[in-house]
Amino acid sequence: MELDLVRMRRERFAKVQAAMAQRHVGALLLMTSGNVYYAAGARQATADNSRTYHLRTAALVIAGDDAPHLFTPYPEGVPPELPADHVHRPLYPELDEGVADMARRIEELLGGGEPGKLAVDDFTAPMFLLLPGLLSWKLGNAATIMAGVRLLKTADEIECLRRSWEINERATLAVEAALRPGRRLSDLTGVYLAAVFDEGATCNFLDPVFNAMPARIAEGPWSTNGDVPFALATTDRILSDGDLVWTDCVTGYESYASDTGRTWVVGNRPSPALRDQYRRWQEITDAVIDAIRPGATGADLTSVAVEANGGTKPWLAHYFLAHGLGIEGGEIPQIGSDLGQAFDESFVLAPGMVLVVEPVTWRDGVGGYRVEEMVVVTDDGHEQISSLPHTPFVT
Amino acid sequence: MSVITQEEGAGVDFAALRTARRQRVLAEMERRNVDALVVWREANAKYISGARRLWRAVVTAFSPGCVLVRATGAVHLMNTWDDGIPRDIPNANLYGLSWNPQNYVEALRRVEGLGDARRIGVDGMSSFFAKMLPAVAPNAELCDGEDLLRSVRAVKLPAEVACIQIAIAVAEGALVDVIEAIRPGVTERHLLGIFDQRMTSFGVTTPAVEGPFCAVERDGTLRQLPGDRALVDGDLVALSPAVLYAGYEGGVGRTWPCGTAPAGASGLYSRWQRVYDAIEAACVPGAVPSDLRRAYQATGEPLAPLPIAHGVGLGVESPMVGGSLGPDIVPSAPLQVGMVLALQAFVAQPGVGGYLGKEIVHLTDDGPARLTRLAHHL
Repeated sequence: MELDLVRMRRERFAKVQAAMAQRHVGALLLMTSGNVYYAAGARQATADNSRTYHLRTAALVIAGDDAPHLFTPYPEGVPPELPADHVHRPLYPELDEGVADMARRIEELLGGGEPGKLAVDDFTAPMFLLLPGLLSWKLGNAATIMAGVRLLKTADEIECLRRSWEINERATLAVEAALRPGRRLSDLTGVYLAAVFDEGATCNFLDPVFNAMPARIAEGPWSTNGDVPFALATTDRILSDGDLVWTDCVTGYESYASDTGRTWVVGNRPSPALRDQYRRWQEITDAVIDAIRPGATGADLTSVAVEANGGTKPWLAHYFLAHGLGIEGGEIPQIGSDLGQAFDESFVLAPGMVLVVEPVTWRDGVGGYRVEEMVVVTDDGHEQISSLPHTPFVT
Repeated sequence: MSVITQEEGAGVDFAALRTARRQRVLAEMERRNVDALVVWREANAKYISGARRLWRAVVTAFSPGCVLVRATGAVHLMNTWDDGIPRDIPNANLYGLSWNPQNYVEALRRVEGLGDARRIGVDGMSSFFAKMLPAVAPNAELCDGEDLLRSVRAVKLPAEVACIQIAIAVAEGALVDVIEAIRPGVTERHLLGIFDQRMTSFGVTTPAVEGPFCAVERDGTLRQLPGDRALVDGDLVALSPAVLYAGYEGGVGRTWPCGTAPAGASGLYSRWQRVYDAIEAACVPGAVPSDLRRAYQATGEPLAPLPIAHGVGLGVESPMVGGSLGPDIVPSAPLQVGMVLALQAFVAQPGVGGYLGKEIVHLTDDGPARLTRLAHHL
């Protein structure tokens, strides 16, 4: 479809305003990069967060306003349609003086009327300690409101997510082609990052994960839960023939994330026992994706997965069976996570949700299979976006 | 320079560095009467713990990623595995990744000594944890832990300077590949990919920032976000990348011509040199950060559209001295011997483009000592 970024920003802002009206919130002060991008469409340098804290974008959304107020040190990242009187010099809430300045500027923009509720998604330490005493408005929580607003994607958002995923898949294929004995895992990172920007990524969100998996859990690092150790920070370990490699790469197109995970065997000759792990993974994944439709609950997906796996959970204890996908990476819901069964039962799928399904199979001594698939919940079922083949596991 | 991602064997005694950093933090906690630190910012967690955790490039809401209790001296960390965790942090002090913030509250309840704390320093806060902390430490008041850690981190230990020098060497080495790839038709984003790939060949997988790798517009506008724009002959390309080695940032800024350097390019470099010399001369122990801005402005050149100076350590640190686009508020604490700062200047000429250059200096008793070594072409 034709992507219209102006329409995307307009529709997102309307959803933010609708949620504010529903919850009687007078204004939102947004400090986390994903929420600022959602509400105000501000592009900024993708960087280590130590840099972003000092050079951060922030947004103030006032109920009933036609546009968000954006505070930014990156004028080139300001959406062209944003009115000039809504674009401001950056805030600096790292320091007490910066918070005093922030409070003064926010009060000015809020106007002199009756104080209302200002919901904030995150505080710096000086903001948390000083802001309540400096503002006439009562502070509330914006994190839950924004997570809810971001859950259902517009058509343009889904198109961004689709493009992000396709870019990520092409870069992943380039890495797979470079996989051979003697390569370092960190070399794979290099091949990935070079390819992903050539393929059209606009930013990269995660130190790409390339892990050589132990044959047995006990041969890997100690863990708090005794499960398969993944995803660990990539090292410069040199690969050998037959190594089992799991990947997890999160990259962005217009800040919309893709999250590909693959399973490879160096030398491309998986053992029959490992192919069995793949086959079981495929059966589980087919069953889960088949169950994705409006009205299904998270618990429907977990029970289908457990049943297809013969009665035990086929996903990592520290992660989930499936998660939402959106700006910068994973979003709610985390289905099958430690949010618990009650959460899974209460979470109902609806058109416009985007899920990453990531079952894991494992047999100690053999290894296991893990691939992430992207699925959009549609009006009458689902559409699978991910499309990479599972060669050489398919026989 | 092999196996440097292991953070050992690169001429830096990391075990000693971790101990020294933690002792400095504990001493400052004692001085400020802070019983515990609960931090989320990765650089703070790194300073306290030395843990190598999976890097993400986003600003997310506060969560208790790392805890340091003064009474026990123990570090408690949010991490599911002991991979990347220094051996002096026992496995019992690790609590796993969670999607349910209530489980972090339970983990904090198990931290010995935290429940008795009277003053807890935090480097941020969310509405959820603000509500839950009384259940963890009923008698505690919160204070600014970021300010505490900022003051400790400002002056670098010799091993920290060594890490910054390694990071600079990686960034300079990778930038040479970028410079060699500059030619008409190549996109800015391709240069970013080349930089990252060469960086990984040194064993480093974490860039500190994506660029700039941007052609300066002929009207003199400097963009910082690399895009699809293809380079054309006569472009001046502003390059200012950085990498993180063992958490420490190293970077360098240079401007390189694409093809034939435009007439007037060498004049731009001379003007840049004059501004840079002025801010470096002002960068001395005892000066306040805003003196750098005044020195810049005294040259008669307009302020650069990006920070003209910032602290360098575990990533970007205070003092941040904004340029023409802010931030406008500058910390007042004087510069001290042992600080490491990035100094940056940009000059422009309509019809030609502009010149961006950045150096990193270490403040010594004898003044600023330059750590960046890559030549300026022009």
